[in-house]
Amino acid sequence: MADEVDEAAIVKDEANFDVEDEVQDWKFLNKSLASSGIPKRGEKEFAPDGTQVQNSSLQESRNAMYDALEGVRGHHLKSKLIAVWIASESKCIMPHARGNYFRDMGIPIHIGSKVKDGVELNSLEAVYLVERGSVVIYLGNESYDEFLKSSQESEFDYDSLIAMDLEFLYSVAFNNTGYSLDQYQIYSYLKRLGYLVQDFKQITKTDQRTRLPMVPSTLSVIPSFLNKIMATTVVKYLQSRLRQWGFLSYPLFHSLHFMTKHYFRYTDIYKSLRLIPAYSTHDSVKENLEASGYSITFNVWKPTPSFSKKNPPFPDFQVAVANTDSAKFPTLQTIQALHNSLNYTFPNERKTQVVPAVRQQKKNTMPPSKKVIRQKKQQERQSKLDESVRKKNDYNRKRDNLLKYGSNGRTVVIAVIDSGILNFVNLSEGDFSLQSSTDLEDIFPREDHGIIYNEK
Amino acid sequence: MNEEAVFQYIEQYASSEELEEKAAQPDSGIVDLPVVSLAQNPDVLIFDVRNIRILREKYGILGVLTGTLAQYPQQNFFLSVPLKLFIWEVIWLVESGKARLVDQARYRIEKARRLAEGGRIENDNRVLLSKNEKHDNSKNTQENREPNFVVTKNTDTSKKCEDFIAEYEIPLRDYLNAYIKSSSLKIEDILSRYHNFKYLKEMGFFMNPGLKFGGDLVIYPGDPLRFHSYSIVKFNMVDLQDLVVGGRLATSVKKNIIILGDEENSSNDLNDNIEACLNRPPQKVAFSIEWAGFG
Repeated sequence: MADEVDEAAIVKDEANFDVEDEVQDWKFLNKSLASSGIPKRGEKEFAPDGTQVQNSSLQESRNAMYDALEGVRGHHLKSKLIAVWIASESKCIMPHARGNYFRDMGIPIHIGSKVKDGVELNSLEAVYLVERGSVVIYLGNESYDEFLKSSQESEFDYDSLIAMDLEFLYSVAFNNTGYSLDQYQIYSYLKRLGYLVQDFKQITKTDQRTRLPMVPSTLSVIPSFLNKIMATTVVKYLQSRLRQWGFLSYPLFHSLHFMTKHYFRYTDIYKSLRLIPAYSTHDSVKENLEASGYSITFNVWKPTPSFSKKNPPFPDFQVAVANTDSAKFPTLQTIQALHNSLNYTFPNERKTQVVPAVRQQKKNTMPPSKKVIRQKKQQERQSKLDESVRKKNDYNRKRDNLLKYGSNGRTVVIAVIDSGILNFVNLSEGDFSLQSSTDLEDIFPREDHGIIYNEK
Repeated sequence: MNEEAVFQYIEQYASSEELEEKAAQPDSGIVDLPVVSLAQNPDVLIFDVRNIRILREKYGILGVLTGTLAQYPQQNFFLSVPLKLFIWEVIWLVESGKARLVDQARYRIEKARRLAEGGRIENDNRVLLSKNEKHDNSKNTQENREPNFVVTKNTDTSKKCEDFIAEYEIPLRDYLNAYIKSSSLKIEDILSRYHNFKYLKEMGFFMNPGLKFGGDLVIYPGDPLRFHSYSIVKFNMVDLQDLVVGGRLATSVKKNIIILGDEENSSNDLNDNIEACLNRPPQKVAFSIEWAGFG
């Protein structure tokens, strides 16, 4: 049945290769971006040999780079977009916001009769827009403050303010504003790729713990009254210390300490060996956990034309920024705490998706893609199989997916920065016990869908 | 690797007179390293392309470009200023007297204050860009000579104010203390890593941060704009498995892996102050490893 497993397709080397990993040859900048979009890898050499040819071609690449860095950052005077940095409040005001940039950026503001279509930008948004040349920014002063407050004057001469260069803007935007350069690097990376990005906030009114529906608890190795003692902070602290020193390899009140140690079944032995009890979906929501050193920084959406800043949909990704210099390796507790603070709806809260009225589909004149052909073939092959075998295949596929990605779909992206180099890691919650999965229940009703060995 | 060639070629640019002319501070020759915020973001970001050039060509310091390239703002292959220097590059430059750290936020705010006070605000943020540069000289009408673009510059290079930047210099000790506060590394680890960097730097290698290839540093025999890297450097190996992992990974990207550490009994006495320790490199040992894929 091996040919039915699509995921097993071997990933080819070229597909794994990431162009961003290579040091780019700036000579290709103008040629490649104008034409195809993806720069080619430059021809490189292995060691300096001191020849003139080598030196001059290196200098050519360098000069191309310097020229690009000195390139013009700006926009046409006709569509001039002005922002003012208000130093006293560490924020940026744009009196007249025009253009496509404000679908996800800025908070609308009204100041008197003058500023009606204005927005207030935070440090990240202001720096991003100025850096890409879409906005020019001036440093506000007292007379600008007065202009905003007064009701008479309607025009302001922005040339009486200092036009800030990029270096100046960076030094005020990331100095005591609560925003870090690491956050900005992740923010601008995602924005350049076209994602919609906002500061992380809860979209639902209450957090996950208060909305948690009643679900049957999993079998626990720890009796409930002991559980309460375990939850006290003193015990938790002691336990973590003891574990650090290697004295206590399994939990303090683990049944292994009290029970007689005669085993008649393998399951018991395995159970007694496990350090982290397998927990089922949403079990970690019940605990009040703390994410030390980590917090979710951004809500991120794939670009969609119907995005509303006022009523944003649930984010496609939720990103926590961490620096290799300062952040420690995340503990299980930290990861669970991050999952608990996510924007997340429980299955019972999810409305059935309203299927939009079927639009007249344009007739597709393109030949079907390889993927479509493969899917079609697989469907044909499946339909020839016996009913029971098909059911079994379906069950296994669904269960594999649940084991792999967890049955609740809670996922946090950790953006790791090391001296300016970015990496994105996806952390989902796996579930090996699969106790309350209606999807699987529909196909094969049974007590336990998990992969934990249960001897009967 | 041909070390002599690397040296020759660095020296060649070091002596180039053209470069001296273009230096931002031609009198002192010391590069200013702007620190964004000592308390919160102790990063060094360089916006002045002249300084980026000096660092690259004279001192072989690369840094990482992190800003949006305004000409092509929707891609991540080619980035622009600011150039972010990583901590070892900063320490090396300052410790060897090639650069000084500047408290940029305070310096620029004071500069702006002095400008406003003197009533000398003259914004030169408008330029003339013609669509077709070929016809630039021949067919320009009067109307076309008016500036048509409004721009934001990388940095302020004008000399509207008297030079008072020296008042905002940050001593290396203060900078290191700020860094240590925000870092989870211990002082002895910071020192040991810095000495690893310095050891390789003084052998003439060009270096980039190593996370892209799973190491601590990636080293190049010359400027990476022109030359391949063939080594990933790792500072710590815990066990044999790490060794195999590192070797396999490096070999798969056509590189070898170098383990670098202190010779036994040669590490610093931490009772001394940090600056003294920076000056006393311990003996280093290095091994290079390739994964032997038999068959």
